Amino acid sequence: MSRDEAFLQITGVAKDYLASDAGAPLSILRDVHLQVRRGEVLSIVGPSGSGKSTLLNLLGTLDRPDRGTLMLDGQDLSQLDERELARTRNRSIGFVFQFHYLLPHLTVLENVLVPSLASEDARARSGAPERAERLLKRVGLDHRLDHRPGQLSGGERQRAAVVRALINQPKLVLADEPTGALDQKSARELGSLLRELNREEGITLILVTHSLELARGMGRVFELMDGTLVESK
Amino acid sequence: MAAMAPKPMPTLLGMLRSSLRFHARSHLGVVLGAAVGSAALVGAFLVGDSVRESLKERARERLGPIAYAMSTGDRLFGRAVKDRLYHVLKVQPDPRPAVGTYQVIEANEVGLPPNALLTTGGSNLFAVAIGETNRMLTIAPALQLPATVGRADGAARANAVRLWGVDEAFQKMGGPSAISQLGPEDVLLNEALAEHLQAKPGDTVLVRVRKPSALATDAPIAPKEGDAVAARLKVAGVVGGRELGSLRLTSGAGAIFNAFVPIASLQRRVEIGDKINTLLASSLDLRVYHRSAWSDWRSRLSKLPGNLGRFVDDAPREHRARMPDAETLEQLRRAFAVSVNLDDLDWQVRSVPSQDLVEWRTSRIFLDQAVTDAALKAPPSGFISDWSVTHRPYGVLTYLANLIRAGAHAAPYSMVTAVDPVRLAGLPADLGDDEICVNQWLADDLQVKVGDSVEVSYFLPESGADLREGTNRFRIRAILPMSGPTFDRTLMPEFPGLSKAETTRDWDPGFPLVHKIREKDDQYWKDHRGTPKAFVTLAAGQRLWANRFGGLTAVRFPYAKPADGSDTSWLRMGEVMKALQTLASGPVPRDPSGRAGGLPDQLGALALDQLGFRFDPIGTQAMRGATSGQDFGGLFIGFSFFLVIAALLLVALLFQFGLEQRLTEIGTLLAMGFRPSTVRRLWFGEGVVLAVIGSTVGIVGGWYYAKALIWALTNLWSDAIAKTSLGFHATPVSVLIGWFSAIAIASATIWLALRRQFRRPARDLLAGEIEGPRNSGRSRGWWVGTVAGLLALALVVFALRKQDQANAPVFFGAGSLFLIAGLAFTAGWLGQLRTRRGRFETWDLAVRGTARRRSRSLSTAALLACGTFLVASIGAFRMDAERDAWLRSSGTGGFALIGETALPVSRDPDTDAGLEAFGLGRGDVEGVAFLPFRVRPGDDASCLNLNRAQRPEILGVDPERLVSRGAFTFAQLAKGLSVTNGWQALSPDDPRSTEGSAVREFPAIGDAASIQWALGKKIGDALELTDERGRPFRLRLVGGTANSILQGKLVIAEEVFKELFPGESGYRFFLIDAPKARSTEVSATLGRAFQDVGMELTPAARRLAQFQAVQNTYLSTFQVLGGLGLLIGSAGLGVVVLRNVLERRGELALLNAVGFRQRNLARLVLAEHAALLGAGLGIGLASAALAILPSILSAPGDLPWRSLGLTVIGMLVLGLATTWWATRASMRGSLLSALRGE
Repeated sequence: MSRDEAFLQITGVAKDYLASDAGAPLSILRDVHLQVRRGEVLSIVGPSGSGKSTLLNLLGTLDRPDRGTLMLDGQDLSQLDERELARTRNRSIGFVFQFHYLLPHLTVLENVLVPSLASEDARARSGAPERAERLLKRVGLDHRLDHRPGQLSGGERQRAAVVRALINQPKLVLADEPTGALDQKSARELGSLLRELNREEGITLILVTHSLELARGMGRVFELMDGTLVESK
Repeated sequence: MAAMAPKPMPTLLGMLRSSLRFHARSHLGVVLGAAVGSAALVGAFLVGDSVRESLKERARERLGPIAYAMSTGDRLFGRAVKDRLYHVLKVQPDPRPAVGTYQVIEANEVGLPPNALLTTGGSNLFAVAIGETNRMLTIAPALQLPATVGRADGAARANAVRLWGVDEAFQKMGGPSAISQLGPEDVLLNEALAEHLQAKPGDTVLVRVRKPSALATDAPIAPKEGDAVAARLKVAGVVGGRELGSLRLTSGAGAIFNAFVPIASLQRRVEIGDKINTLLASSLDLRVYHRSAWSDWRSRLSKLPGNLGRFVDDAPREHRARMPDAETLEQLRRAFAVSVNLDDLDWQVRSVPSQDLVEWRTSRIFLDQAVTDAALKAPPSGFISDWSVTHRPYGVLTYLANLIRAGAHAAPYSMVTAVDPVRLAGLPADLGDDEICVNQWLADDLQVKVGDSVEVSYFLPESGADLREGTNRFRIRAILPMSGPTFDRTLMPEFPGLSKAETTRDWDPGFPLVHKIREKDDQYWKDHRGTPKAFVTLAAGQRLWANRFGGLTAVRFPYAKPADGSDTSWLRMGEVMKALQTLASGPVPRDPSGRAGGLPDQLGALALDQLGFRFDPIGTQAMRGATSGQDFGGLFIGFSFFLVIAALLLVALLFQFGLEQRLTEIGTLLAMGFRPSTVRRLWFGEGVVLAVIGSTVGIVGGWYYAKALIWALTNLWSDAIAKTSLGFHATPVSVLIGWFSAIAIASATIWLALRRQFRRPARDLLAGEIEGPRNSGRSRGWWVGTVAGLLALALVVFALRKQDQANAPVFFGAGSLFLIAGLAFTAGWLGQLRTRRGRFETWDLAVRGTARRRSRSLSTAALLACGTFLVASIGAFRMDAERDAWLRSSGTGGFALIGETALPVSRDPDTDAGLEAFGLGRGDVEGVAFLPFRVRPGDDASCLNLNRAQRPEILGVDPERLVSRGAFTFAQLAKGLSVTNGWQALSPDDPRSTEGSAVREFPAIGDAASIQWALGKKIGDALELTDERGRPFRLRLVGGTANSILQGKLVIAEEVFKELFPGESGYRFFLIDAPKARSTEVSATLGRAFQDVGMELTPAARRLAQFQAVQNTYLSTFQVLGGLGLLIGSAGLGVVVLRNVLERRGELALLNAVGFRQRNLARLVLAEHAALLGAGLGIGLASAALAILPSILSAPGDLPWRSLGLTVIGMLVLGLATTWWATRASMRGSLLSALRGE
């Protein structure tokens, strides 16, 4: 794979955190390198505290690296200001968190449509309701459109969160322990759903998980060890 | 089946609505907090409305339809002036109030007929009228005199009574309907007086009233005795406020005592003929209506600026509009000028045919200098058109010399005339100012010849009733014959008690005759009456005898006798009378209601105003006083300050808690690409909606809160408003202002709460982290605490080293700094606790728990500390009038009693003669000393008067007598004064008095609080006023006494007072020194002795306490409302406890699971929050103790320890109870369920 083909390229990324008692900074990511192709699925595993979520936050532009560069679809994310980063997040990145983070006061459909509200693309916004209903039907939630999150099961909430991540047709979906709060059956179903959606929608999917079973079904698997990313063979 | 249309896109507004609905229950607290804040603000504004509207009601009740008044005191004029005014003004009496006040603009501005009037309301033309036939004005003549009224049995007496002689015109103006039925022996009392005397219809009261005198009692050679008359009158009825029972021309605090009698009977009793001293006038109203021709003017009217050309009403109908003050006053002034005659002015013109002259004189003896100057300085052709230049008028001043002595020979009681020697034939034209001409009789009597010296002794004209003598030496220039122009008995003015006496034995002057009157003196009197025995130059005479009442006793108008020797004296007399009339009136048009032209000539312009014949717009002044007085709205916003702050902190806390529960929502939206500003606006919008809802609910609360405060002000705190009756009033504007303010500050609070959360990164928010690790607060806390603490310490050390322990503001400042230091150290300590290592015990869990949510803990402690500080320290500002009351430096000035008389006392009672006049000897009043003040009545400028004083009462005193006593303490003196005692700044020769200003300026001293609050001024400012003659002058406020009995008055030097207000005779205000142990006895003695002048005696400490009650009551109000704030603060503490426990329910459950008993855990939580409570109260109390250190050091026994102690214990108990309740509520049920995630 040549460098030119890379959809996402991480080069020498490092991230430190200051300790709460003003002691020496804690180095979470030291020297991370990664190249991801468009439409690829990969998973990142590692023990707790290894920096998986930190790496995902950096990929999702929710945080900035202390060192190194992040290129998304040829764009250097470190060069973007907060406004452009927000736009990039809205257009190009979808998030699925361990907890669904659906807004409790909105219906399932409304929750799914929330990212469209932030979109500056009027055309995308106008087609969003139709797409949302289609995707929700696709994930088996067409009978839950007007339900609030509190009325759904854990698996249903997480499926709704997946649809919300896809509503703006992002190029990259980042999933942070998406099955962490689900039972085994629901976790398995969600894993399948993510793979199917990857195929159907052509999105690039990066998944952070503890679950080796889930990771193995996701193409390349990387392990985060001592602040660096190592591909598991 | 057709496919269903996709659902529409949600919107941000829709999200906001859903969120509000979904979180409604958790928003309830925020709404309630905003409602409390709004209630406090709206309520405060409504209190302002209520006080303002009530004062306006009182003013309307006090004056009824009376809009203008002329009150001339002792200067009387004929009652017929009223009828002449009606005639001249062409008005009909009709006291009904005008519908509104409209601006009348000149019709000819737009080319309308010259007699057309346009009335406008705001920028809209209101109506057009043609003609002058619809002018309405009611005028009521009155004779008002100071009086005392007592019960016939002597059981009660009121000293400061205004006795009104009124007629049917007063009744038409809304006065008592019983006036027309009153008999000559009847009197009507107003409600306050009847209540004070416990008098009812049918009772007999004893009324004592001072006779008005053409001659001021202070004038030289004026009678000092026998100026009061008494009468037994039957109470015919009691007059309520609706019938002008509370009529008073100035605003003031306290009860108004009025009595009404028929004007004719009062005039008879005081022997003044048909004279009056007051004219009351309603507004000059115009009845205006459209005319058919007015449509022709439409195009012309459209040329007027703004919307003036827009007619609001095309239908022909009648409107009644009030003329503006300025125009009405000008018309009244012009009309009065042509309505008075020479008799009204006490001017007499007589012919002296033997001298070929006409003489102008007055029964007041001295002609006012303003008019004599005008008459003498005017070009003859301007005054009397055909008067010969060679016969210009000249002035004469004749005065009584008590003794003319030459060596061993002396002649008693001789008239001496001062005149320009050039103008009186027979005198050497070059008579020097140190020379005198004596007639042959006197030369023989004194056995003197030309060149000898004589000594002339006379009463100093400004010594008033004290009758101090002055002496001047003259050299005899000529001996005058006992005939010719210089031997003229008409030169003597009509001295009362002298001029009509046939022999010297009939003399009844106003002074003791101490020099022996010999047989030959009596014979001279019999033969030649008061023919002057000596002449000096006018300059010399005026230097000795000119005074504030005037510098001439006559102006003479010589004329050339026709060649045919015919007597033209009657013609010349008519010319002089006409000229004097012009002098008084000015050559005004005969029809003063004419709208064209102004006063063309300086002569007429000056005369009447300068003589005190001036209408004042008392209606407007009263309304201005009512609306510009103390702003109770602002005052109660101040009082409710802590309540509002507490409510806002509660809003902030509750909103913050709601926000913290929804941090992941914010994080999610940010992660989905929403811009932080959009998300912040979304949340802020939610907060604003809550603020609007809360503030709207608060309007209802504010309505009842204001009603409660008005009730408290009239019942519990009535001292603060001098027992003024208040009613509840609300204006939409105030409600709206309160509502908007509440929304604005609640929204701002919410914005601040939001701002902090939105500074945090989305990853933290997604992680649900409530407070991120921050270290800066700790170090900043120590740093701020150290600086503030050192500053507080420095202030205290500075004040103690300067022995300035009475400087309350310095200590209050130190206390405030200490409070800041305490809270800053607490912030630092909380920061340290979070990272503390080492010791770990069970109770450490509690203490360190407080550090988990540092800002939350700090807010709670700060709220409690501030509340405790304010409530505890403010109590120490209470004032005790009795404390040190005998010290000269105290607010009483060390004086034991204050005496106020209804009638003026002409002799200084601090002299033996003054005491004797009241039948007292030194032995009767041993150890008693008087400090007399002259009084120019005016608005009460004390804090007891809620109206803004427009014309404050002015006192005149000899400053040296205050300097020598070292009385009172000055809170502040004007910058640049080089005086060792503040009273020295009153000295009239202070260069400030005249320096560089066309308007005369004099120094004045008042009570610092009165200057600030009642007058709305500060030291160094000047008050623009007019003197008795209508001339403007300025009082520069050079000093303010601290919390003194001089509240409500401005003090100026007596010399200045006499110059400004020569008609205010005698003394009416006294500060009296008396031995502390005998002050009650002295009060009784003086009360009896000064009964005839109606002396009201008040212990100085009691008067001071009345003034201080206002401030003390305000402090109580502040404390009560501050206490309410603390209640909310305690509620805030409870909410914090609830929130903390709910957040940590899992942790507590774990502790429960590992073996801690639930009861112990409750204690742990209680201890944790009790620590916060303790910190808040401790810091607040320690700071308060520092703030009140002066009181603790100076008089620890005087501190209100009990109330302070109760307040602190109350706060502690309340705080603990709230914490205990909140702990119990939050830990109810099984904690272990939390572990199971239930």
